[in-house]
Amino acid sequence: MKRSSVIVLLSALLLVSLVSLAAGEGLLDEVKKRGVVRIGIGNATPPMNYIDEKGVWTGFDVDLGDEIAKRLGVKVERVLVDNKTRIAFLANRSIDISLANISVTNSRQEQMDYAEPPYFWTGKIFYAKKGKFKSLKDLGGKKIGVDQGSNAFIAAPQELAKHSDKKPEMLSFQNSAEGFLALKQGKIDAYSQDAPIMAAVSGSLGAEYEAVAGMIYSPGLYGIGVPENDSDWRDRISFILQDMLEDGTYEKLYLKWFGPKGTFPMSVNSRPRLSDTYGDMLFVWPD
Amino acid sequence: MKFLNLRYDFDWGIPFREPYVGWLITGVELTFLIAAVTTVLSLLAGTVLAVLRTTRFKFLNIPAKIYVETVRNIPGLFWLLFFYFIFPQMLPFGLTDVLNRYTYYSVVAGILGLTVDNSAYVSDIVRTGLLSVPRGRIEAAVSTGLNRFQQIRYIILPDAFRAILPPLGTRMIHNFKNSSLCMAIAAPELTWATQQVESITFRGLEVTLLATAFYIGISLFLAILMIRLERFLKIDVTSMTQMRN
Amino acid sequence: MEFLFEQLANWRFYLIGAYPNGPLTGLVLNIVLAVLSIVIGLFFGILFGLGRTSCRGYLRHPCGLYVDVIRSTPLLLILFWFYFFLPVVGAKMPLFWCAVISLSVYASAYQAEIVRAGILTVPLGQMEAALSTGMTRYQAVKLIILPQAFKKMLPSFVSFFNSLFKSTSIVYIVGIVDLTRTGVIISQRQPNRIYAAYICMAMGFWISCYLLSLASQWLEKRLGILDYESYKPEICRQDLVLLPLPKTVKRLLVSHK
Repeated sequence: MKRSSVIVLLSALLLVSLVSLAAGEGLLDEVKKRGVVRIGIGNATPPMNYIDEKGVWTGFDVDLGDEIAKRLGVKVERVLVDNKTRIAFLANRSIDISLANISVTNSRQEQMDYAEPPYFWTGKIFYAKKGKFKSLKDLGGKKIGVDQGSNAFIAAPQELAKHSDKKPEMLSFQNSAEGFLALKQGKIDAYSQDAPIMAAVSGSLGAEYEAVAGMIYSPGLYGIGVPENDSDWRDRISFILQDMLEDGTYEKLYLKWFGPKGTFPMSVNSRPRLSDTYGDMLFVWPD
Repeated sequence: MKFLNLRYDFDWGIPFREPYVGWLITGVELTFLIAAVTTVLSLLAGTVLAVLRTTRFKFLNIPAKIYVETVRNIPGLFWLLFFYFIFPQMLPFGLTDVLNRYTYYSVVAGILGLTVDNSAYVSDIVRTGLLSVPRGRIEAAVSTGLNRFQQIRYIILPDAFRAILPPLGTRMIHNFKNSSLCMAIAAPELTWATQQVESITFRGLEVTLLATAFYIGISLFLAILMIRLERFLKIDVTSMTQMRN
Repeated sequence: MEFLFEQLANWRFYLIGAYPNGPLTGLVLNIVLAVLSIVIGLFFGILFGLGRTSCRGYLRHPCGLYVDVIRSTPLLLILFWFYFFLPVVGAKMPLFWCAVISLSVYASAYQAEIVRAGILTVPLGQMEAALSTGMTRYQAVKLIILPQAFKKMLPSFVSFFNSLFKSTSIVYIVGIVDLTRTGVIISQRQPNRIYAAYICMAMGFWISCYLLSLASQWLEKRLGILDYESYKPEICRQDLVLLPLPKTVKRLLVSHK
């Protein structure tokens, strides 16, 4: 009798200890005290974060996260997030930093803050078979695929409404790779995602596809997500990022992944910078 | 609402606002559609498979056995992905494009995948039922001059179905719940809709609560319906299990 | 065909991924998930199963409610509850443990039904006989009733384990790299290997499940299987009452049948 009640008590304790209540202090102190920073990273969006052929979790976000943890002087704990949880987990403080190709948008600003500046500058394209569509006008009324949780679900119909009266049909997939497969098989007419992601996902098949009209229609400036209303923590991460930009660490990482000899060579410059190619779009966050 | 350190303010307006309410209604409709169609199809397919498996002809029962053994040992999710991504590519030229271009192919693939998955289980259940029909009943049927088809149609199947109704009912409830897996292939059913609301508004708790209540309600309703049906068909549940109190 | 052999040569990725140098992925992850959750589920399954056969309404009805609710909820939604919404009340845990806990919760409800069906097959006289040899009720349940019931439950447990193992593939949807996702990753990264990748994925599941189903068939033949899934009217086992209660309380709570 006694032993069984001990087991019950122990299991109850186990459950309670799993339900560790978050402390009310600032996140910076909490992380320092904990000695571990929890970074939310995805695993289905090459080149930013993905599982490679050997099963290793890698990507630009992963390396950047490791570097941030190193500079904070704490260990890194990678928490797997996806397009839907990368913001929800920040809001409920399951993670301290969200590094999962999050484009800065207006609606997300209400849920989370970003470290300054956005660490990767790219933009959304409509990706389709070469020569199938001449301009965005042709995409009206067509089937457009997006990632579930991507802001392209809002941005793409908004953009297409400017060019055509016909409403596009939106399908949302669990990740870009599934969406690209659907695009390849003709289940959708175009896929809307950030340019480097589409390039990496399509891999060797990229030659058969192109961005419709060769244009970026909505800026995708990736920010490092931090919980809302914790300016100490946000500033600390911002300064770390800015230090990295200044002392060349960022450049080294960037070249490792996107340089001419990198894993995913990229001709377009995606480093954070002052406005040049983006023109007016730069400081207008999408919805 | 603050208790237990709850970091969430409920906004019960969300599930009833456009466009979310539209997604949820479509989701409920599709969930019912997928569940109903797969139930009917897998009952038919499962029964045919079970009859094939009980025949003496090797060229009929061996393929049926292979089919059931293959399907039963592979998860339903695999069959969904298979029918969505692989199956159209395997078809002869022409059909591939027709299927791929079809806007609701994800729903079709979901129905096909769940039917394949479910039919193997149904065939197992039906087969058990067929084997449980007493030899004497079949002999009596033979002696009244019924041919083989008539025996199966009028004697064996009705008897067997009565015996297997309880496990069959449980299987169909499983199948209803499994329809939620279709979200993996972008079929806009209810679970997909809740996730879609979550991904746009970052507030998924309300819709997920509603969806969970929906699934529980329908499953329990189906369970009660099955009990009523069993009573109606006068299946004595108590005699089939050992009960002592 | 040569693509298939090439994929088979890549067995490490399908089985364990980069482990021990990286996260554990692939088929072994499915197995680990299934084993952990069936063990945790068994512990709670026994508690809920005993609770469900108790004659005390305040034990039986909550346990019954738990089992009914969990069995009526899709596993995917149980997973989402632990994945998205447990953090809302301040509980944080890694995704792997979210998956283990939700699978355990799912398993515990089904295993409670198996335990209940197993207990109901043990004749009432066994309890009386055990008590008359001077055992306490607790000893009798532990040494006499449960072992006999377990023999009856074993085939059902093995076949449920088979179905739980297949269910672990749904962690694919929340991004855990199990066998399903490894197959999908390969099929997407190397588009011309798509058939080979799906065949490898299917084979991984098929071989493990086929072995399990052979084991469960063998056990079923030897020990017989319980019909735990079909509904049985609410019944209780007066003889299994574990905690002695004061007579007055007993009269209030226990309905004699």
